[in-house]
Amino acid sequence: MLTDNDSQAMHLVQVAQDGDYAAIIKLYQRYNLLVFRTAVLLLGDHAHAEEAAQDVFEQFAQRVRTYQPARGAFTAWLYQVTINMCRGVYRRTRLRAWLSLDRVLRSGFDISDGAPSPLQQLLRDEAHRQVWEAIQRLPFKLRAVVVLRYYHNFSYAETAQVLRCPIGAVRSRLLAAHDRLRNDLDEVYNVLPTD
Amino acid sequence: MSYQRIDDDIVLAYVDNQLDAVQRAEINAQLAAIPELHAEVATVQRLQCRLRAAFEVVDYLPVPHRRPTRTARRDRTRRLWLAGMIGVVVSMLIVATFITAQSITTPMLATQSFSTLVPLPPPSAKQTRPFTVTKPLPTGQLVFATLRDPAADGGCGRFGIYLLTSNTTPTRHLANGCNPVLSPNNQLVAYVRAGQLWVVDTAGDEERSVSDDGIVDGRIFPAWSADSRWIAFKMGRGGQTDIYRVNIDSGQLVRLTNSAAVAEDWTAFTPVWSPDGRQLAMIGSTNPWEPEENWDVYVMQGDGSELTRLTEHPAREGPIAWSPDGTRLLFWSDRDGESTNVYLMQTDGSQMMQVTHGVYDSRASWSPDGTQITLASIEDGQIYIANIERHTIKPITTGLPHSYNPIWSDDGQYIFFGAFADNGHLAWIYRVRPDGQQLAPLITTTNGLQWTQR
Repeated sequence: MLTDNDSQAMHLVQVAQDGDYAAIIKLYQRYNLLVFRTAVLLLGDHAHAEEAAQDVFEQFAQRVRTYQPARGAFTAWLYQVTINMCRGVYRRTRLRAWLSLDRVLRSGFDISDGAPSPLQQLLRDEAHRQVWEAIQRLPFKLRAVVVLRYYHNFSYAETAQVLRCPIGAVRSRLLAAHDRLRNDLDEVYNVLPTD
Repeated sequence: MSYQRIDDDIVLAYVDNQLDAVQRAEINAQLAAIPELHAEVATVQRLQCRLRAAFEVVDYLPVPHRRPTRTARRDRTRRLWLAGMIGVVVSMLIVATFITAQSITTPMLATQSFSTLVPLPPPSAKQTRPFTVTKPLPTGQLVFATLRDPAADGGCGRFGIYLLTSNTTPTRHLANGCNPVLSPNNQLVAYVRAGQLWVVDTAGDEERSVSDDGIVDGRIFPAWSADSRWIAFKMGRGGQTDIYRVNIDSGQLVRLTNSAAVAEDWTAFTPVWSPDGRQLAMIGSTNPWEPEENWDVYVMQGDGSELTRLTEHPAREGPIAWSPDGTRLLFWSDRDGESTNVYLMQTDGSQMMQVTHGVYDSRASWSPDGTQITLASIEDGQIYIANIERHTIKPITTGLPHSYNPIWSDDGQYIFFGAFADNGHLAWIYRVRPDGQQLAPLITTTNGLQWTQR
């Protein structure tokens, strides 16, 4: 299970809950990378990930008070907050697309115009790009499980802890994600030899 | 050997190394004998390898240290505005339908104003205190907040504000909210709830909102002036966030800063009154939530005039407390790098002196005679006393897991501080004599503790 082994981080969490602004900023700096990378993976879009990470930290000082150590590790809580914020951004972007009558099935994958984002520049490898696009076509719920399992290397139990769902639900969501990804990336797997 | 179908989720769990030893042994035995199963496992492994390889790209992304662009924010605002308009239209239709159907008139909700006195509901007989009183308070009163209902989600409304006293009724539930601060005359408690600044008397009889129509920043503690007549706080109003002060007697609300006039995106927060009530120290920063953005210590007159920047360092720093005689200002700074230390300067920014060398809490409290300060170390979790005149610092506690936010009592006889267990599941308010004697917990809770001071 996810645990908080970093004594200093735990102290910062406690004094941040008590309203210490310096501690809040230190936690912010410590976990900024984690939040942003998770957001990029969940949203597949650099600008949207920035927006989600900004949302997380703008509300961080207020929300940190709702964290209760007895209910799990701080990092698990932070992942929950990040995933919830990303879900909010995901819904907003879909609503925006709907309001602008842009109903063409867009993957949500770096749909911004103009110069390529840092993420687009990094995804020059076609194989990686295909995977990212396939991930973005997954329902958000399945996407979160895949990111926690295959990027953060969380066990099923840890993933269940973050998502606050039974381990069985993690297994079934992962299986559903696998099925969809295999279908989506069918051409890749059909040409690969089976051992 | 016949092929016994193995569920797909078992295959996935096998590849994910999430099966126990017995289950793995069973699959291993079948893998050698069943080519179809072997192929299935290999396919899952290939897919996972591709996922992991594709995800690694994110490790090379630069982490943004800028806010979303103004264009993006404007775009987002437009979207929120549009969604809000749709919501308003739908709500109006629903309300109109309801009124027509019920043939009743819905009374208008009265806006909370300063003069509105809201009697508190009587305490529920079922409500149990979310903490245990271990020892009575030696003297005076303390105020703290703790979660009333740990299972519920939400903001400040989940917290109960309690008064710890030395009389026969050791604790009293005053109100619900967070960031409670006791007035210097021990008669009122200011706190934040639902984006409003509230005041309740220490009898817990009446609470009232004093922040008019603004949105009070729930992250910032309100600050009482020494004469208990004014509260300074951060509030958003008319599209701009500033430091305001409100007169508790008349309800007069005065804006003290004009952020837009200082710089674009500049904001001020954590106001601290001087002992004579004539000046306020605070943090000023442009885009304070930028990880690389610096914060500086500013002072201004109590009417908002003569805004002066006292520190000009690219680190983060903020005021802690004025010395009792009002001649010096204690502040914290990250100018050493990752660690936070406590510094002292004259109130004009001169004669800066580093008080601590280590990693300290960014709160500290002066002894009433102004010769010493008490503060907490994040490194060893103990409470320390620094003698300002002798330039010495020593711990007064040992063996505590994590201590924080020590506060000297008005009579100088005790230091009160918060502490929590290694796993964070248990929190205390302690008291100790300045010489380290008579260490004892006053309150114990498992529900999270917001321990504050004036």
